[in-house]
Amino acid sequence: MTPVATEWLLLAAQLATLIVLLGVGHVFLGDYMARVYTATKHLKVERGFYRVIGANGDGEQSWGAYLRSVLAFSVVGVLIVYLFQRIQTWLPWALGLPQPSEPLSFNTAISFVTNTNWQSYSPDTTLGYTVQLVALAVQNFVSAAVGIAVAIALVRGFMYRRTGTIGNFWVDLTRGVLRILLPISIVAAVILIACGVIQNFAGFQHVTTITGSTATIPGGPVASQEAIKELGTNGGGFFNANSSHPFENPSAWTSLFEVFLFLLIPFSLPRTFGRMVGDRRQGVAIVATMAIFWLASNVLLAWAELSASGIAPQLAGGAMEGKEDRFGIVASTIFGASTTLTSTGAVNSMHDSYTSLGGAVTLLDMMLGEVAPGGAGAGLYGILMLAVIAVFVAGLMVGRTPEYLGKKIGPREMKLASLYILTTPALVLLGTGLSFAIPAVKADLEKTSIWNPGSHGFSEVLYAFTSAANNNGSAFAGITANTVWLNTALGVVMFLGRFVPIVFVLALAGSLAQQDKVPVTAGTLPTHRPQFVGLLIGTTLLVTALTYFPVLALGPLAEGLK
Amino acid sequence: MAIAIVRLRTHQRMEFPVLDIIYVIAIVAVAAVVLLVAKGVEKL
Repeated sequence: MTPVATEWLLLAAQLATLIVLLGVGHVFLGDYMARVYTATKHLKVERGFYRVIGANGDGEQSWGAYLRSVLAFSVVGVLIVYLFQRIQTWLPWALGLPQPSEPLSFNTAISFVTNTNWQSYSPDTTLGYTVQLVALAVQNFVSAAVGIAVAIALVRGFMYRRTGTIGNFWVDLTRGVLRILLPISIVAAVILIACGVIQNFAGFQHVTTITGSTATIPGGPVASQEAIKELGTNGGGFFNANSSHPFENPSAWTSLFEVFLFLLIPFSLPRTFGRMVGDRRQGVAIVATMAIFWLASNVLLAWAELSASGIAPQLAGGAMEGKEDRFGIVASTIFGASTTLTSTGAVNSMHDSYTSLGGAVTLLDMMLGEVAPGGAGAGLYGILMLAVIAVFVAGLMVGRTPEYLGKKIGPREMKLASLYILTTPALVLLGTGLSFAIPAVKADLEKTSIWNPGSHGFSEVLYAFTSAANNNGSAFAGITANTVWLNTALGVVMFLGRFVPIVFVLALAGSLAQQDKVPVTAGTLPTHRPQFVGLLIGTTLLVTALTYFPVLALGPLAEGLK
Repeated sequence: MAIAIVRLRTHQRMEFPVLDIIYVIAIVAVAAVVLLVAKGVEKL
């Protein structure tokens, strides 16, 4: 068997393993999450927390109140993470590291609160254990819980009749952390430790190697952070090399387990959605749409990397630059496709070294809007917004009032869905455009940030803004992002890319919750059949391709055609 | 945090944190933009 054929066989085996694990896991977790978010009783510890923050755990909120709670909680989070970084020198376990600069602290604080986890810095040589644990790891939990809470609020919009309320943010947040993320993270961390991921407070160890030279080996509480980094679709590494570092991801088995972890919640939430709206088939249609995109991306990315031209790639059986030997090509592409489709942003290979077409696939994955299956919560609310548009398009074709799950999709709902899908592309294109349109910024980018001039350099900047606006966090690592412009601009884009779409999602949830349900008639479009899955895939592709094709032509496509 | 405050109080050479203030204002400003969008959405 040729090396390339072996790689394809490996791809099939690993994807099949993931499908089986996720097929079983999403049923249990999806049903469990539905029970968590519909339960009427609070745990004792939860009641204590509500008392501390002065929240009424039994009260429901309008979409405006829900949004203000999300925003207030997140802004306070940004300020706390910013403060912790700026006083790092005086914190315990700072490892003698100085405090990060103001622009870098701004960028990092927003990055972790928005579930992006873009890192303009090298974590192991920039942040001590206290900042990593008390500031960043806490945000890994709560930012994921915020995303899930917003998705559940939108699902309640479809569930509720004439209420105008969409749940209680503080209850959703607390349950998400205590009942879902924390228990699974503890189990996952133990598994990771058993598989070789480190967990200590050893600091930097200076050792003499067998050749007589010295080496510095960093330690740290990695496994506990790695578990929530993947489960919460966060992606921020403890080390600069992220999941390609052997202390974070020692083997092909841990790599597959990490992919499973960051796919688990996004693929389980459609099941939760189906359960909560009382029709599991609706969840199956959504998960089928996500799975088709995910499988297609995996095959495309593997094909791009395995069929790389040139003597070195052909001798190696594919494009091995930037990939770890212990993972090989397909374990890298599975990780790469899944991380860019889930808004995780963790990497076990360097996307900057992918072939031009491979790089284009990772970009396109993010440009889909992080919906296949997307981030924790963000994936579900993203694809439901696209489903609203798909239903509207179908309504136009058959000349009937569009409905989705018994709720009418009127002008207000369509305006909100349209604004939602316009926000992220606007941020990506404006951010990238301004970076090259402002002469001083362009000069700084070309002098400091871009190491690969031409089309690839353009792709690096485009990737950075695409990653930031979609709250992904991965990077074309050839770019030096720790500059005043990129730290500040990417910080603003991450914040707006997270919370402006959430405004439209919650407003839509509120609008739907005010409506009564309309009965199903012969003219109602069935939204649980393969026909709707095809319509949703087509809508997603059209919206994405039309928006981004010109800019992709300037970057990876131009590079590939050279 | 308490340790940091104690150490901070004993630190002799503190410069006025101009950039810190600018970035804190920037954080509040982007949040205000989101609230403005929400206000606009209410009128849709």
